[in-house]
Amino acid sequence: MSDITVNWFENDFNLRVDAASDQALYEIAAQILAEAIPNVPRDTGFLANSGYVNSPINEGFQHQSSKRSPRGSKSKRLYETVDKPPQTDQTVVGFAANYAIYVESRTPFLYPAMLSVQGKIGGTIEEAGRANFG
Amino acid sequence: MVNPIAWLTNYLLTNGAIAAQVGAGVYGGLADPPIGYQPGSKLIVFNTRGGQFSYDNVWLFDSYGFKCYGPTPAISYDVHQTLIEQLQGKHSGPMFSAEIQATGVPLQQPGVDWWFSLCYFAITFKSGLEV
Repeated sequence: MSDITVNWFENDFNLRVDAASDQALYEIAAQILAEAIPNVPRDTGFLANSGYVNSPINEGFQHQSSKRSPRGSKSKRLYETVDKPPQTDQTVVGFAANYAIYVESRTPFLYPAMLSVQGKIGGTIEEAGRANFG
Repeated sequence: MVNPIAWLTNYLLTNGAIAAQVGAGVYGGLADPPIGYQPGSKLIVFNTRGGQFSYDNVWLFDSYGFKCYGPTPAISYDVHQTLIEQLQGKHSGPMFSAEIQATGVPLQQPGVDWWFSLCYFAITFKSGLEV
Protein backbone atom coordinates (compact mmCIF):
# COMPACT_ATOMS: atom_id res chain seq x y z
CA MET A 1 0.00 0.00 0.00
CA SER A 2 1.26 3.40 -0.87
CA ASP A 3 2.19 5.82 1.91
CA ILE A 4 1.59 8.85 -0.27
CA THR A 5 -1.46 10.97 0.48
CA VAL A 6 -2.80 13.60 -1.87
CA ASN A 7 -5.06 16.26 -0.36
CA TRP A 8 -7.13 18.01 -3.00
CA PHE A 9 -8.33 21.31 -1.62
CA GLU A 10 -10.67 22.06 -4.47
CA ASN A 11 -12.16 25.26 -3.10
CA ASP A 12 -8.79 26.64 -2.23
CA PHE A 13 -7.41 25.75 -5.63
CA ASN A 14 -10.34 27.39 -7.39
CA LEU A 15 -9.90 30.53 -5.37
CA ARG A 16 -6.28 30.69 -6.32
CA VAL A 17 -7.12 30.14 -9.98
CA ASP A 18 -9.74 32.88 -9.79
CA ALA A 19 -7.28 35.20 -8.10
CA ALA A 20 -4.66 34.44 -10.72
CA SER A 21 -7.05 35.05 -13.60
CA ASP A 22 -8.36 38.25 -12.02
CA GLN A 23 -4.79 39.42 -11.52
CA ALA A 24 -3.83 38.50 -15.09
CA LEU A 25 -6.91 40.20 -16.54
CA TYR A 26 -6.29 43.28 -14.46
CA GLU A 27 -2.69 43.49 -15.66
CA ILE A 28 -3.75 43.01 -19.28
CA ALA A 29 -6.41 45.71 -18.94
CA ALA A 30 -3.95 48.08 -17.25
CA GLN A 31 -1.49 47.49 -20.08
CA ILE A 32 -4.18 48.25 -22.68
CA LEU A 33 -5.01 51.46 -20.83
CA ALA A 34 -1.35 52.46 -20.60
CA GLU A 35 -0.88 51.96 -24.33
CA ALA A 36 -4.13 53.72 -25.24
CA ILE A 37 -3.60 56.91 -23.25
CA PRO A 38 -0.70 58.29 -25.34
CA ASN A 39 -2.84 57.81 -28.47
CA VAL A 40 -5.90 59.65 -27.18
CA PRO A 41 -6.48 62.81 -29.25
CA ARG A 42 -5.94 65.71 -26.88
CA ASP A 43 -7.76 68.98 -26.63
CA THR A 44 -8.51 69.61 -22.97
CA GLY A 45 -7.03 66.34 -21.74
CA PHE A 46 -10.29 65.35 -20.06
CA LEU A 47 -10.79 62.28 -22.23
CA ALA A 48 -7.26 60.97 -21.65
CA ASN A 49 -7.67 61.47 -17.91
CA SER A 50 -10.92 59.54 -17.85
CA GLY A 51 -9.33 56.15 -18.62
CA TYR A 52 -9.96 53.44 -16.05
CA VAL A 53 -9.79 49.74 -15.29
CA ASN A 54 -12.55 48.19 -13.22
CA SER A 55 -12.06 44.65 -12.02
CA PRO A 56 -12.86 42.43 -9.04
CA ILE A 57 -9.49 43.42 -7.55
CA ASN A 58 -9.47 47.11 -8.36
CA GLU A 59 -12.22 49.64 -8.92
CA GLY A 60 -10.60 52.37 -10.93
CA PHE A 61 -13.74 54.09 -12.19
CA GLN A 62 -14.40 57.57 -10.85
CA HIS A 63 -17.14 59.94 -11.85
CA GLN A 64 -15.58 63.25 -12.82
CA SER A 65 -16.71 66.60 -14.11
CA SER A 66 -14.65 69.61 -14.95
CA LYS A 67 -15.02 72.99 -16.63
CA ARG A 68 -12.39 73.49 -19.27
CA SER A 69 -11.77 75.63 -22.33
CA PRO A 70 -11.54 73.70 -25.57
CA ARG A 71 -8.72 74.73 -27.87
CA GLY A 72 -9.56 77.94 -29.69
CA SER A 73 -12.27 78.94 -27.23
CA LYS A 74 -12.05 81.29 -24.29
CA SER A 75 -15.31 80.17 -22.76
CA LYS A 76 -15.40 77.13 -20.54
CA ARG A 77 -17.53 74.07 -21.12
CA LEU A 78 -18.63 71.40 -18.69
CA TYR A 79 -16.98 68.04 -19.35
CA GLU A 80 -18.40 64.98 -17.66
CA THR A 81 -17.91 61.26 -17.44
CA VAL A 82 -20.74 58.78 -17.54
CA ASP A 83 -22.33 58.20 -14.12
CA LYS A 84 -21.22 54.63 -13.62
CA PRO A 85 -19.12 51.97 -15.33
CA PRO A 86 -20.68 48.96 -17.10
CA GLN A 87 -22.36 46.81 -14.46
CA THR A 88 -20.48 43.54 -14.67
CA ASP A 89 -18.29 41.37 -12.47
CA GLN A 90 -15.80 41.12 -15.31
CA THR A 91 -12.73 43.22 -15.95
CA VAL A 92 -13.42 46.37 -17.95
CA VAL A 93 -11.02 48.86 -19.47
CA GLY A 94 -12.48 52.04 -20.86
CA PHE A 95 -12.64 55.79 -21.03
CA ALA A 96 -15.46 57.31 -19.06
CA ALA A 97 -15.76 60.71 -20.74
CA ASN A 98 -19.31 60.79 -22.07
CA TYR A 99 -18.07 61.65 -25.57
CA ALA A 100 -15.36 58.96 -25.70
CA ILE A 101 -17.23 56.80 -28.21
CA TYR A 102 -17.36 59.64 -30.73
CA VAL A 103 -13.62 60.14 -30.56
CA GLU A 104 -12.94 56.39 -30.72
CA SER A 105 -15.23 56.08 -33.75
CA ARG A 106 -13.28 58.77 -35.59
CA THR A 107 -9.75 58.25 -34.29
CA PRO A 108 -9.44 54.81 -32.74
CA PHE A 109 -7.12 54.81 -29.72
CA LEU A 110 -8.45 51.98 -27.54
CA TYR A 111 -8.81 49.25 -30.15
CA PRO A 112 -5.25 49.59 -31.51
CA ALA A 113 -3.96 49.41 -27.92
CA MET A 114 -5.90 46.18 -27.44
CA LEU A 115 -4.34 44.75 -30.61
CA SER A 116 -0.89 45.76 -29.46
CA VAL A 117 -1.32 44.14 -26.05
CA GLN A 118 -2.86 41.03 -27.58
CA GLY A 119 0.56 40.02 -28.83
CA LYS A 120 2.08 40.33 -25.36
CA ILE A 121 -0.60 38.55 -23.33
CA GLY A 122 1.44 35.38 -22.84
CA GLY A 123 4.11 37.10 -20.77
CA THR A 124 1.56 38.93 -18.64
CA ILE A 125 -0.32 35.72 -17.81
CA GLU A 126 2.94 33.96 -17.01
CA GLU A 127 3.92 36.72 -14.55
CA ALA A 128 0.54 36.64 -12.81
CA GLY A 129 0.64 32.85 -12.62
CA ARG A 130 4.11 32.89 -11.11
CA ALA A 131 3.01 35.40 -8.50
CA ASN A 132 0.03 33.23 -7.49
CA PHE A 133 1.37 29.73 -7.87
CA GLY A 134 5.07 30.27 -7.18
CA MET B 1 -2.45 43.45 -51.99
CA VAL B 2 -6.17 43.63 -51.40
CA ASN B 3 -7.69 47.06 -50.73
CA PRO B 4 -10.38 46.13 -48.22
CA ILE B 5 -11.99 49.56 -48.13
CA ALA B 6 -12.43 49.75 -51.90
CA TRP B 7 -13.55 46.13 -52.07
CA LEU B 8 -16.07 46.48 -49.24
CA THR B 9 -17.45 49.71 -50.68
CA ASN B 10 -18.11 48.01 -53.99
CA TYR B 11 -19.49 44.90 -52.28
CA LEU B 12 -22.03 46.96 -50.34
CA LEU B 13 -22.92 49.20 -53.29
CA THR B 14 -23.77 46.18 -55.41
CA ASN B 15 -25.89 44.55 -52.71
CA GLY B 16 -29.60 44.89 -53.49
CA ALA B 17 -30.82 45.18 -49.89
CA ILE B 18 -28.21 47.81 -49.04
CA ALA B 19 -28.99 49.73 -52.22
CA ALA B 20 -32.70 49.63 -51.34
CA GLN B 21 -31.85 51.28 -48.02
CA VAL B 22 -29.22 53.85 -48.94
CA GLY B 23 -29.03 53.90 -52.74
CA ALA B 24 -25.47 54.85 -53.65
CA GLY B 25 -24.82 56.17 -50.15
CA VAL B 26 -21.94 53.94 -49.12
CA TYR B 27 -18.68 55.69 -48.30
CA GLY B 28 -15.56 53.78 -47.30
CA GLY B 29 -12.58 55.38 -45.61
CA LEU B 30 -14.52 58.23 -44.01
CA ALA B 31 -15.17 58.94 -40.37
CA ASP B 32 -18.13 61.22 -41.07
CA PRO B 33 -20.62 61.71 -43.92
CA PRO B 34 -19.13 63.42 -46.96
CA ILE B 35 -19.41 67.16 -47.52
CA GLY B 36 -22.89 67.97 -48.74
CA TYR B 37 -24.63 65.37 -46.62
CA GLN B 38 -28.31 66.14 -46.35
CA PRO B 39 -29.24 65.70 -42.69
CA GLY B 40 -31.86 63.00 -42.36
CA SER B 41 -30.87 61.06 -45.43
CA LYS B 42 -29.78 57.45 -45.13
CA LEU B 43 -26.21 56.38 -45.79
CA ILE B 44 -23.41 54.17 -44.52
CA VAL B 45 -19.96 55.46 -43.67
CA PHE B 46 -17.24 53.06 -42.63
CA ASN B 47 -13.57 53.01 -41.89
CA THR B 48 -11.00 50.61 -40.58
CA ARG B 49 -9.75 50.93 -37.04
CA GLY B 50 -6.68 48.88 -37.76
CA GLY B 51 -5.76 45.24 -37.64
CA GLN B 52 -3.06 42.67 -38.11
CA PHE B 53 -1.69 40.16 -40.59
CA SER B 54 -1.52 36.48 -39.83
CA TYR B 55 1.99 35.26 -39.00
CA ASP B 56 2.41 34.03 -42.58
CA ASN B 57 0.98 37.22 -44.15
CA VAL B 58 -1.77 35.23 -45.90
CA TRP B 59 -4.64 36.80 -43.94
CA LEU B 60 -5.48 40.34 -43.02
CA PHE B 61 -7.57 40.66 -39.86
CA ASP B 62 -9.08 44.14 -39.68
CA SER B 63 -11.82 45.71 -37.66
CA TYR B 64 -14.25 48.15 -39.30
CA GLY B 65 -16.53 50.70 -37.74
CA PHE B 66 -19.79 51.30 -39.63
CA LYS B 67 -21.87 54.40 -39.01
CA CYS B 68 -25.38 53.95 -40.42
CA TYR B 69 -27.19 57.27 -40.75
CA GLY B 70 -30.92 57.90 -40.85
CA PRO B 71 -33.48 60.58 -40.06
CA THR B 72 -34.34 59.05 -36.67
CA PRO B 73 -32.58 56.73 -34.21
CA ALA B 74 -34.98 53.91 -35.14
CA ILE B 75 -34.40 54.30 -38.87
CA SER B 76 -30.63 54.53 -38.44
CA TYR B 77 -30.89 51.31 -36.45
CA ASP B 78 -32.92 49.76 -39.26
CA VAL B 79 -30.17 50.64 -41.76
CA HIS B 80 -27.65 49.02 -39.43
CA GLN B 81 -29.79 45.88 -39.19
CA THR B 82 -29.86 45.61 -42.97
CA LEU B 83 -26.08 45.92 -42.96
CA ILE B 84 -25.81 43.09 -40.44
CA GLU B 85 -28.16 40.90 -42.46
CA GLN B 86 -26.05 41.43 -45.56
CA LEU B 87 -22.60 41.14 -44.00
CA GLN B 88 -22.71 38.88 -40.95
CA GLY B 89 -21.27 35.46 -41.72
CA LYS B 90 -20.81 36.25 -45.40
CA HIS B 91 -17.78 35.41 -47.54
CA SER B 92 -17.10 36.42 -51.09
CA GLY B 93 -14.02 36.92 -53.24
CA PRO B 94 -11.11 37.99 -51.03
CA MET B 95 -13.43 38.43 -48.02
CA PHE B 96 -12.98 35.23 -46.07
CA SER B 97 -15.26 36.03 -43.16
CA ALA B 98 -17.23 38.86 -41.58
CA GLU B 99 -18.28 38.65 -37.96
CA ILE B 100 -20.01 41.31 -35.91
CA GLN B 101 -17.91 42.56 -32.98
CA ALA B 102 -20.39 45.00 -31.50
CA THR B 103 -23.98 45.43 -32.60
CA GLY B 104 -25.35 48.88 -33.19
CA VAL B 105 -25.80 51.68 -30.73
CA PRO B 106 -27.96 54.60 -31.88
CA LEU B 107 -26.08 57.85 -31.28
CA GLN B 108 -26.48 61.51 -32.10
CA GLN B 109 -23.60 63.24 -33.86
CA PRO B 110 -22.33 65.84 -31.37
CA GLY B 111 -23.54 69.34 -32.05
CA VAL B 112 -25.85 68.48 -34.92
CA ASP B 113 -29.15 66.73 -35.41
CA TRP B 114 -27.72 63.70 -37.22
CA TRP B 115 -28.58 60.22 -36.06
CA PHE B 116 -26.51 57.17 -36.69
CA SER B 117 -26.07 53.63 -35.38
CA LEU B 118 -22.49 52.56 -34.77
CA CYS B 119 -21.43 48.94 -35.09
CA TYR B 120 -18.17 47.08 -35.58
CA PHE B 121 -17.24 44.09 -37.72
CA ALA B 122 -14.15 41.92 -37.67
CA ILE B 123 -13.47 41.06 -41.30
CA THR B 124 -10.80 38.69 -42.54
CA PHE B 125 -9.42 39.18 -46.05
CA LYS B 126 -7.02 37.16 -48.11
CA SER B 127 -4.20 39.67 -48.04
CA GLY B 128 -2.96 39.09 -51.55
CA LEU B 129 0.59 39.67 -50.34
CA GLU B 130 3.32 37.68 -52.00
CA VAL B 131 4.33 35.02 -49.46
